[in-house]
Amino acid sequence: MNIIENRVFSNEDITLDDNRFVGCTFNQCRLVYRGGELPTFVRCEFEGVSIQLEDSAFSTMQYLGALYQSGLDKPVETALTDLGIGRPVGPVPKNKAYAAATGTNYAELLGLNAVIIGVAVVIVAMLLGGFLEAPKNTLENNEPLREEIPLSAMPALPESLGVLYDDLRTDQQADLVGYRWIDEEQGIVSIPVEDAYTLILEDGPPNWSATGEGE
Amino acid sequence: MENLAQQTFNGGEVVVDDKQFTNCVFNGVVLVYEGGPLPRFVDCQFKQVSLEFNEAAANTLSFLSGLRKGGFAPAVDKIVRNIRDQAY
Repeated sequence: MNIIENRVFSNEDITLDDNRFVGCTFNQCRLVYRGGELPTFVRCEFEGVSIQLEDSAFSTMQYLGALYQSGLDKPVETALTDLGIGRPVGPVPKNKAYAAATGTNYAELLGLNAVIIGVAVVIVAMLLGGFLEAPKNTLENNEPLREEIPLSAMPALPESLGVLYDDLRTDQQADLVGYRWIDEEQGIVSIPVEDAYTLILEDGPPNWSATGEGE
Repeated sequence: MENLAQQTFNGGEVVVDDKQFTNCVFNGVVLVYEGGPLPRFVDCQFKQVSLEFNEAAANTLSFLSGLRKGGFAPAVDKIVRNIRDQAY
């Protein structure tokens, strides 16, 4: 692409294809495009210019014109509109919002507003019925839809969990340092853990297979 | 110019540059034009055709689109009017 910078063109034909114009001024020029690589314009000024299409660019216009006159006006209009070149022609459809279509059709406006308000009222009524009235309904056997659980049926927690925890901890500590029977008939006792260490070091691990011995 | 006579095109794309179509039927076809020599249609039928543009033709339409957005809307509108009036 050719880069053309800071030029002033006056009263001449300028070929645009494959050119990049930067900071140029075009006065009373004819800008010629032939269908080649697209030109770019950066910070350019235009005064009294005209557009001239030649070669392939002109053929494209001829092609579109011929199609238009051959009954293919709709595909041509669609293509032009899709490309952002053409604008819809003919009367504006009644059901489409368009600035020029605003008028004094108050009856239709009133009817639409009435429908919208009616729908809103129905929705609000349904919400009120659902949230305020429905919970009061009962089942066929006259039982409430939602059974309320009385507070007395809730499991009661002790007043002081801390006291219970301290008592439990004290009992566990006493078991570790005291002597007591576990099962007197079987000859099973509990001894302080320190004594248990000493016995194991002196006599070795107890023979658990012998009933009641070494425990 | 290539001559195509009494053919029926069903669907797909048909590149039309430099072709003469005589007594042809186009059903649901995409007519592709690339900016080359103009095609000719003689006694042809078109049903649900659409248009596509490639190469120089696509460049030209992009150029016009850019012009329209860049402040040259009146000039581009005049070109579009000429297409509708077959002034080319």
